[in-house]
Parts: sequence; structure tokens; C-alpha cells
Amino acid sequence: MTIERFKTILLLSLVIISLLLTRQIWIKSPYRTGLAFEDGKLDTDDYIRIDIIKPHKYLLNFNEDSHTIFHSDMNNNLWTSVHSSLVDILSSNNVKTEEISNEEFITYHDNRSIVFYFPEQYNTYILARFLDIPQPNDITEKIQKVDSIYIYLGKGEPYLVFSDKDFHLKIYESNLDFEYIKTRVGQIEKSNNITYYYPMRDSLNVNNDIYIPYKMSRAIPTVYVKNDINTDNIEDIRKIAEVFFQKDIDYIREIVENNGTVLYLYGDEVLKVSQNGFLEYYSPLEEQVPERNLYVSLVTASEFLSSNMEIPEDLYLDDIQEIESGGNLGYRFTFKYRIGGLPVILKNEEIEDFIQLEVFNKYIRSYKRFIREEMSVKSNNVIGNTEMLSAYEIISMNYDLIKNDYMVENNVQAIDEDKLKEELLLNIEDISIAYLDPCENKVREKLIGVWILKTKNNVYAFDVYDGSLVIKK
Amino acid sequence: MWRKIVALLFALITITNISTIALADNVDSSKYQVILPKEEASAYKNKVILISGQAPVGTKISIELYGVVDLTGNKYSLINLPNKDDYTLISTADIESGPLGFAKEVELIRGINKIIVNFNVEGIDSVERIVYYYEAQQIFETLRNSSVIPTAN
Repeated sequence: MTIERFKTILLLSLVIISLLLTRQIWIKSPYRTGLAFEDGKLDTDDYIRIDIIKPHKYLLNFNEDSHTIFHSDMNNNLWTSVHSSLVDILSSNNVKTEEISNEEFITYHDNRSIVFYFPEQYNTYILARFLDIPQPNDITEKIQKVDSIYIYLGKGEPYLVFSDKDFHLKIYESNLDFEYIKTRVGQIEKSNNITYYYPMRDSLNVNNDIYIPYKMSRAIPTVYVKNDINTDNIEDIRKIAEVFFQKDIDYIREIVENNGTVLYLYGDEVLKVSQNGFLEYYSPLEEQVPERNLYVSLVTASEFLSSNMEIPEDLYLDDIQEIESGGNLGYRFTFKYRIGGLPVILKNEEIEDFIQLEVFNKYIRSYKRFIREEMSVKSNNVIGNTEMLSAYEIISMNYDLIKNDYMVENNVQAIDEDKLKEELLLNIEDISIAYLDPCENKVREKLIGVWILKTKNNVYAFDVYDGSLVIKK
Repeated sequence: MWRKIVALLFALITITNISTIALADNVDSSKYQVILPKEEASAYKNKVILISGQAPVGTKISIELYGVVDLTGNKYSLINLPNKDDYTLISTADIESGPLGFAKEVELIRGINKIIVNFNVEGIDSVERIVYYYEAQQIFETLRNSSVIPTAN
């Protein structure tokens, strides 16, 4: 009798299990519901979101006479070591704040300190949330955007200064600990091959706070790259399509065009891989998005990046633009990355940037990607004995070109040369070192070391070794 | 005959001097400036110093660095400067002024350094800067051993 009852229960269980499994097969749609999150759930535990927010420039002020700039945090962990202090600052109830003038802030650069410059004005609330602070304090209201963070490393009470252009908020918090960064900056100061940077305000007697070097202590290495997508092997491209659609290739429609471009279609989603390694993905929005939310959009972007193809280690968010399409409001995020510690820019006008996403809150509408990998080539060294030109030398060599552009663009007639020089120097917004990718070869592409000079109207890239103009945008 | 020669020489010398004075009068001294170091005498914490300034494009400029042998590092200070004869030429750099002016990084020696910027233009005086280079440790010793403190710029 007991055995019969057991058999009945077992049979009943098997029926229930089979019903559940059948439901999964037939009721659940075979099409993915876009790359969206379930409402209210933003599960990105496997990805540290703060990693996409990185400074693009680090100014180290050893004292009033000595400054240097790094473009990368490689091997130093200067930025990552201050994450915990930023968490304290943005979550503590014991912070004291004080607004300071631009003139006062400039004098702070004479003190032992470090300044992290961001490529974009980051929203302070987003910064706090990406540091895993559930409820940030009122600093996010006192300064809503931040383009640089200054940290005082001298004697006495430590403090930070959050800056947004000429607005500066000085912040004290009793628990701040910068011992690691102090030690590291001390070690860097003692190293022999420092390239010193000087403020143009002091060295050229012009009202511009950009720091430029006059002599480079070392050259940059020669770097060769290759496409991260092997477009000569269709199997490799198919695997990428499978990752994107999370389906076996048998369920995905494949179209190969005459020029070698491969298209993959799955439902309304499209994946296009061009022969030059440029990948584009499009997915229509599933619903109207009449309001944009930066935080949700950024989380969606970071989740998307981490769940698809591998992303370069030194990737950072470079630009945020608001976009509108058919009444939907969203953002266009541009990500860039560094090779050998230096940012890389593209010469190809067709490929706008390395990674570009159009995000409408929890929906990705488009994704464009062109990633190159560093190659291990034997000649991966500094170019012979060639000395690298400094920013000062580059401006001097190309002075006439910059001057002519400035005069044409600003409709300037012949004026006093000294006054014109002052105006030109005031017109410079930034100057930094980068690699330029000519985008001409799939493999063994040699990157060109360039000085990127940004003026109010133009971006110039000059070869770091001969000073010639490589591109102008 | 001799009288004629002497008169001719006198006339030549006079003409040459007049033209030199006229040339010197045409030189705008405000076009020749040293921007860094700002002060005539200053203390400096970094071993490398930038000498920068303005001069018309193409001006040949020489930058001379002089130092004094001071093994203790305490013999001289910005208040107690060495005599002119005590200085030794350490290095010379010849540069040409460009559209931005001129600039050159120079490596200092510990203690008192004298930098002379010579524009090599008649009528324009060379510019002299005294720089006291010290390291953090050195300043402690100076404070301990002497009441003379180098002034920061």
C-alpha cells in the first residue's frame, strides 16, 4: 500500500516537472527582450562601474617649483587608491565645505598635491553612485558636476577640492588618509627621469593655467597594433554574433556582402562587421523613452560592455552627449582607451571612435566598436636616439600655421605681434601626448606618437619626433 | 701725410660711434626680457630650473650658469653672496629665440647659482639671476647651523 502511494506521488511529481519544462519551451519567447534589465534590478555585481570613470591626466605638484603630468595611472594606482577617501567624502555626515576663488585655487598648486583631471565633466551624483554609495551626502548638490579633483598631500589637515571649471569646493573630512599616495608621489619625485611641466602663466607670462613641458626626459615607445576582430575568418565573426544574440549561429540569419561586410539579423536586431574590423550593432527601442536618466543609462552601458565582447583594460568614459530620436531621449557615450598608458585617437573619419553607445535608459539602441590590440613586435622600443619634441617646441615650430588659422577663423586683421601671440596662447585649451592610429592596416599597424593641441576651434595632432602636422580636425 | 691719416681715422671712429649709438637707440629694450626666474634672487627647491623669456625671433641668446664650490653647503646664502671672483662657469647654452621667445631647462648645483642671460645685442644688457638651490634635508641643516634662512620666491 505504501509503495503504491509512493509511486503515485512520484508520478505526480514527474507530471508537474514535465509541465514546468514544457512551459519553458513553449511559453517563453525564443527572442530576447532586448538588452534591458528587469524593472528595478540592476545586477552588475560582476563589473566595477567606477572603472569607466578615470582621469585622463594626473598633475603631480611636488612643490611650487616642480610639477609633472602623467597621462596614465599604470603601475601607480594613484586614482584607485583614493576611491576609499572619495567614498568617505561623498557619504560622511561630518564633512566641512568651503567655496574658494579661482585665484586662491591656483595658488594651491604650489603645495604638494595631486590633481586628477577628467576628460568630461562628470556628474557628482553618478560618481558617488558608481562608488557604491547608496545615499550620497549634499556635496552632490553643492557641486553637481566635477571636471577635476585636487588632493592636498602636504603637512597639516588633509583636504580635497572638487572643481567645475572656475567653481571650486574645498572639502575637509577628519578620516581622510592619503598615506599611500603620499609615499607613491615621494617615490616618483625621487626617480631620475621626470619630465617637468610648467604653467604657461609663469613661463610664458600669459593668463593660461595649462601646464606644458619644455624638455622631454624620455621618448615614447613604438607600438604596433592589430584588429581585435579577425575579419578574415568567418568562424570568428560567427562566434561574435553568437555572443551578441546569445543564440546558436543556426538561429541567426547571415548575409555576406560583396565588399566582405557580414550582416547578422536576429529579430529586429542587426549586427554588422565590416572588413576593416568596425563592428556596429542596432536594436530598436521596445518602448518610448520620454525622459532620460543618466545613472540608469550609464549602468546599462557598463553592463552591456561587460556582458558582450572583451573590453580593453584601460577603457574610460570620454564623452557624454544628450541625444533625441523620434521623441525618445537618451545619451551617446564615447569610450576611449589607452595603449602603453597613452590615449589613442583615430585618423579614420568614417570610424568616429573606439566605442560609442546610444543608450535610452535601460535600452541600447546602437553600439559601435573598433578596438585594436597591442602587438608584441621585436622593434617594440623607443625610436633610436631620436629626441622627442616638447609641447613648447611643437607650438614654436607650428606657430605660423596656428596663427594663420586663428586669424582666419576670428577674422583678425594685422595687429601687434605681441598681442597676437598672447591671444593665440590664451586660445589653447589643452595639449597632451597620444598615439594616433592611421587605421590603414588590419595587422602590424604602427601608431604615430603625437602631441594633441586643442584650441577653441581646432584639434591638431603633431608628430612628436618631427613636429609635422598629422591631422587637423 | 700723418695728419691726414689721423684725421681720417678720427673721422671713421666718429662715424662708427655715431652709427652704433643710432643703432642702440633703435633697439627696443622692452622686447628683451627674462620671465623665469622672476626674482633677481630666489630660493629654489628643484634641481632643474627653467629659464624663459622674450626676444625678437632669431636673437642668439647665451645662457651661462655659474656656481661656487661650497662643500658644506652653508658657506653662502642669498644674504651672504659669494664675491664675483668666487664663481666658476658650470655650463653654457646657446639658443635662438623663436616665435614664443626662448626657454631652456638648466641643471643647478647645490647652493648659490648665478645665471647670466646674454642677448648678444648691442645696447641690451645681459640679465643676471641668483638662485639658491637647496634640498629639503639641507634646509633643516641650515636652520640648525645658522640663523640665515634662504627666502622662498
